[in-house]
Amino acid sequence: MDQPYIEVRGVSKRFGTFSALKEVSFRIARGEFVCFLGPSGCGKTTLLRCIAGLELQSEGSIIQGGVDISWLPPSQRDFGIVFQSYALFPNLSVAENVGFGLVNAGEKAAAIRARVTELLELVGLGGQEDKYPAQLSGGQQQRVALARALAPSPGLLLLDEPLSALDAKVRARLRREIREVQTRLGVTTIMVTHDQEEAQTMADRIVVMNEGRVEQVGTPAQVYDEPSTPFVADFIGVMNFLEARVDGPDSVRVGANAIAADTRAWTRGAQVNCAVRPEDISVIERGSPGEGLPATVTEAESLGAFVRLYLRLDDGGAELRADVQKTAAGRPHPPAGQAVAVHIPPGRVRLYPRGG
Amino acid sequence: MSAVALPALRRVVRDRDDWLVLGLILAFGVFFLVALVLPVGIMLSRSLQDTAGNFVGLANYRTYFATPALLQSIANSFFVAALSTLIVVVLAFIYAYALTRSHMPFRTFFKVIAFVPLLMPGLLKAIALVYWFGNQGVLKSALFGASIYGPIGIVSASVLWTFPHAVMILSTALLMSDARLYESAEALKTSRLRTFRLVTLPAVRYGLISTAIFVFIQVLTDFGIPKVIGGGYNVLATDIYKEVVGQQNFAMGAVVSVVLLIPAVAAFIIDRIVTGRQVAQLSARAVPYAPKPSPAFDRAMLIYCSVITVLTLAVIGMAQFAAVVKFWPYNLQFTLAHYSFDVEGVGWDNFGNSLILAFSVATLGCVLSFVSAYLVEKPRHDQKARQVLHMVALIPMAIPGLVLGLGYLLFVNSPSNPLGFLYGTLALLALSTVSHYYTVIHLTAITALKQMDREFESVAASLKVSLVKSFFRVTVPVCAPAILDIWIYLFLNSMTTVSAAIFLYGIHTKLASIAVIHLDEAGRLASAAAMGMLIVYACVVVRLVHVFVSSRVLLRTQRWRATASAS
Amino acid sequence: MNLPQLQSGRTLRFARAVLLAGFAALSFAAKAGEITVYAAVEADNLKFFGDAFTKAHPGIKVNWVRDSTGIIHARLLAEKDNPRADAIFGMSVTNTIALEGMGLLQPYEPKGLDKIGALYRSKTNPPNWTGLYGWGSVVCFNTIEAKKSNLQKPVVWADLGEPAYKGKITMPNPASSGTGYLMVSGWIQMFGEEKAWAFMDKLHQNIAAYSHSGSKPCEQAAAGEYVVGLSLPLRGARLKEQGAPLDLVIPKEGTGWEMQVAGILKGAKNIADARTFMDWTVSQSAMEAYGRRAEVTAYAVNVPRSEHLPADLVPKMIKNDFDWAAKNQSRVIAEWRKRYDAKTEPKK
Repeated sequence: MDQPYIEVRGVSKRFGTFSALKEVSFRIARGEFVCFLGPSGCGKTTLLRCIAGLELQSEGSIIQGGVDISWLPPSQRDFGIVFQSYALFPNLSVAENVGFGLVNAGEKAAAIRARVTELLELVGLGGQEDKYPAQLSGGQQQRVALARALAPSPGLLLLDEPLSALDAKVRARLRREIREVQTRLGVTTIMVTHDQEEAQTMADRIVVMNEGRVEQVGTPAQVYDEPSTPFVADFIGVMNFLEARVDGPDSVRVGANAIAADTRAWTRGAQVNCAVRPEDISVIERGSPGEGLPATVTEAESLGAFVRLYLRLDDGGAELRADVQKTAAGRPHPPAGQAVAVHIPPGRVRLYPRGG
Repeated sequence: MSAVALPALRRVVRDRDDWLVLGLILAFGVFFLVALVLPVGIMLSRSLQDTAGNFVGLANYRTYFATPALLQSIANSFFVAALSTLIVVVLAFIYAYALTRSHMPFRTFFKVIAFVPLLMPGLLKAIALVYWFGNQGVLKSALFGASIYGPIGIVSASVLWTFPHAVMILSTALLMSDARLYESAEALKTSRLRTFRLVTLPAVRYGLISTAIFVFIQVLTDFGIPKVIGGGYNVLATDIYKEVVGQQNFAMGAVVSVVLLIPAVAAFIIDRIVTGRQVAQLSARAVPYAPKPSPAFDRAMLIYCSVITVLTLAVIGMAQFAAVVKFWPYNLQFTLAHYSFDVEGVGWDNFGNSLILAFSVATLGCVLSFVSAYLVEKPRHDQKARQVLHMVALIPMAIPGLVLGLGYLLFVNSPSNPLGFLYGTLALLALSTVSHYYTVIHLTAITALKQMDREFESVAASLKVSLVKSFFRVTVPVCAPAILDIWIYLFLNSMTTVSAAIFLYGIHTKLASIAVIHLDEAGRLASAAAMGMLIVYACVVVRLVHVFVSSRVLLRTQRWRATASAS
Repeated sequence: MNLPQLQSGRTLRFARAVLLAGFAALSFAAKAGEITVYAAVEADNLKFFGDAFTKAHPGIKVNWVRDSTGIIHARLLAEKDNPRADAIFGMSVTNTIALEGMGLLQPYEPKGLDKIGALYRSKTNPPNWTGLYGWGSVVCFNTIEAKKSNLQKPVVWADLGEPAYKGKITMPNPASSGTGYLMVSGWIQMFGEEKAWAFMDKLHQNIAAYSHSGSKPCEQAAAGEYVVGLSLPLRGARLKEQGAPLDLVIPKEGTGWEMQVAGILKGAKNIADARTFMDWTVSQSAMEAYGRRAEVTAYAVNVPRSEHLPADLVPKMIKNDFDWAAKNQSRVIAEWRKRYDAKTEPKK
């Protein structure tokens, strides 16, 4: 990324004594679709509003297209925005809403009408020009909001939890459509969401945030497979954490048992948390060949395509979750109470410091 | 690395809209300084001076607190204010409940009836009450030997006077309820009473508190009612009258004003604290509640509203009666003679002045309050200044009209004041009247603006649409109902206002409401009633025109609401 | 930007129109041939007097600002440093002496001053004010209600202190009404302080309500609200004309009274016309006008008085010491409030 389109540098935001953002820095390339992901109150919306100029950061700077926009008012920045509440002007028709920013730009009426029609076609609302927002469904309203934001062809599209107010089916469809429109127009897009699935399916890259800090910036695969902090590991998907101690160059010890792991970055004897995804764990029969930690199934629940087993390690009693394919071995999964062994493949283990 | 300069300590860049906002806030600062702070400040500072204008510290307060009448006045003021509040809140709540939550017939009619007392000047209400319940009153026996002159009269007239305001606030509160809560309650087979206690009351408790405090402050600070019907029952507001008008002792008048300000300001602060906690009562996805028919309940509500209607019409009917009988109570022949006002300075031109005043106050107040509320609610910058603006806009409610009027009188007459030329003009009367009612209209506008999506301005900014344009294209049309309400509220009140105006009218700017007082002073009670009724007729006509124009305006600006419910 | 411009343009035009309407009514501006007079005269009488003046001096337009004595007085005080009016007319002498003491008046010797007695002019020479006419206090007695309650007409003031009148009397509160004060001052001047307060103590037991206006008690008596209203005879006469069943009684000892005066204000803008006005106020034609509406005039004129006025009014007016009344006003009112004002529960 030689010339980032958006660069956020050391941005902090304080409301009184509360720090909403703590020295946030990252870059976004032109045309990228980036999600700000994190639990509520993590500062993601505040960050979005700082980029839009709706809030002013206490410190740090924001650069867009090579220009320092840190202290510019929203009207002098280049972006379109869509809010969770749609924020459609209720007294204006769909066409008037979409054309709201165009009229101001001094364009000719015919040109505006053509542009409005084009945008409404783009978001799949052709022919709805004369309706009022209240006559549309939530999903349709959000499409109008999207068309309105895109109307002046902004360089940056900001989406603030645009799908949260919609029901699940509409949400899934809109996700795809938004992404399609974004790809077609090539507009750099930032979307705020607390829904990791949304982020995973839509984003080129995800900025995972927690308590005002950026935890990790990476592609969906990176944040899932290589979470750089325990928070990311825990927040994205499901993760097992086992308390362990670095034992040697290639293993850690969980209770009495050793698990293979890359420990080159660690000193021997270091206390660590050993993170492993449920789907990476294989549950095998007790006594079968290969390494395995003896465990007991405490509960099994069917989650559609797979079964989630809740396991307790015999040694130390740590709890584990393991997802196994229903049809994996062509036989039923072990029932609750069954003694099993758990195999954790060496490449799938990540270590994080523990305590202190 | 990009080639951009290191983060510099740059000042916030303001765009044109930001400058406009700052400019407007400053303009409002000047407005309030001139229209409120300086006049009231001058008046109150007199409490620290002797009659010759020398600074005497707290000497006046010591004198006042040594007067035995004081404690009694305070106790009396609190008693009538509290009792009136209790009665009004109960009566108005049931009435507003019937209007918003029942399926009874004639709801529109009852809505109109509730506003009838607003059309009547204070003296007219007092005359009507005396004719009903005075010692020669038709229903004197209903008081079981008690006298209308005193707390009973003050409380009845105050109830009558504040009832429309209370119904207005409570109806708004009751309308803003989430139907989903009622559906859940129904699904859980909760009894009507229990639903009322567990769903309705909590939802409107802020409205109830606001109403109670509004009524309390109004009754506490009003001097018109206790003056005409209070007999010898002393309250703080009439104490001010005695000092200022009876003995021209501005210093003591100011002392009583300050004493009166304390409970008013305290009540007001309580209101702010309590309602400040009211956040997100109504979520964005709330469904408006639509009452379902329930024969027994609807009939009960119909009976209740009919009783209130009969009482209201009885009052205005008696006022009309008073204007057309020869000599109450000994000669009840019909006559129109009282409508010929053959006394100096009373006539139809007073009426013209009142209409001009009411139109200007309504229009000016509408514009000012809506803009000030917008400045408080919507902009991004200047938060401190906006908070100060809000606080200042809330002051007028606690200032008795008499104090405000006297403050203006002293202010425009101070030789160093370049605005002295305004004295006696309708412009000054309009300014003082707008100022007098500012809190109510400002809060009404705030409520309306709070119901708008708070991101409209963000969207507009992102679309590079100026604040002015989005204000006129979206904010104003969407808030049209509230703006029209503010307009008529100000109009009606300006037609009947007396307290501040009595010190400020000039040679050619006497108002009809003051003419009513003058006719009464000239011993022409019936003519006073006749002049009062003229005000009522005018108010009714303007109200009807307002209803007609509003329906046209609302048809145009609120089409989206209609289609929303139709879809 | 079409809409907002249109709207704000319209708003501006309207605002301008409103402002112009406001300023067009610009008052208190000095113009030749025009004077502003603050009048504490009842509105119907003022019309009568004003017409008389216009007839005598059609070239001078008087802008009357009429209000109650208290309001006019308050305005004059507030306007002290920035006088707006040229003259006062019909102001009560007690209030005027206070205004004189504050230096708000300027001396002028109106033509025909010699016809006026010493009581009817200020002590200075030339006088700061001159008297016009006077009125006293009277007992408005409702005969119909009296019959119902079996009450006798009072003969002496002390009768009103009898228990039979309990709850039947109303009078103006001296703290808010000049009429109230003239009664109290009259009693004190007639009986001496001690006896007067003793009388008022008894009277207070019988008062149903103190009103804030001097004429209200008579109206209440006329309307039968109370049997007795201590008030103004002129008001009583007017009510009788309208058909009120009233007798206007003046107790034997006599009655306190108040004089109405006129004077030129310091800072008067149109001094020439103000002087013409003052000349008129003591002229024969003015006195004749007063005579038809008042009980006693600054010098005797022969005009028919209202037949409803009590015949014995003038002889019963006490020898009034207006200076005493003005000087002792705050002390007496304070004493009155201490005694009676705190006890406010209206009696049945």
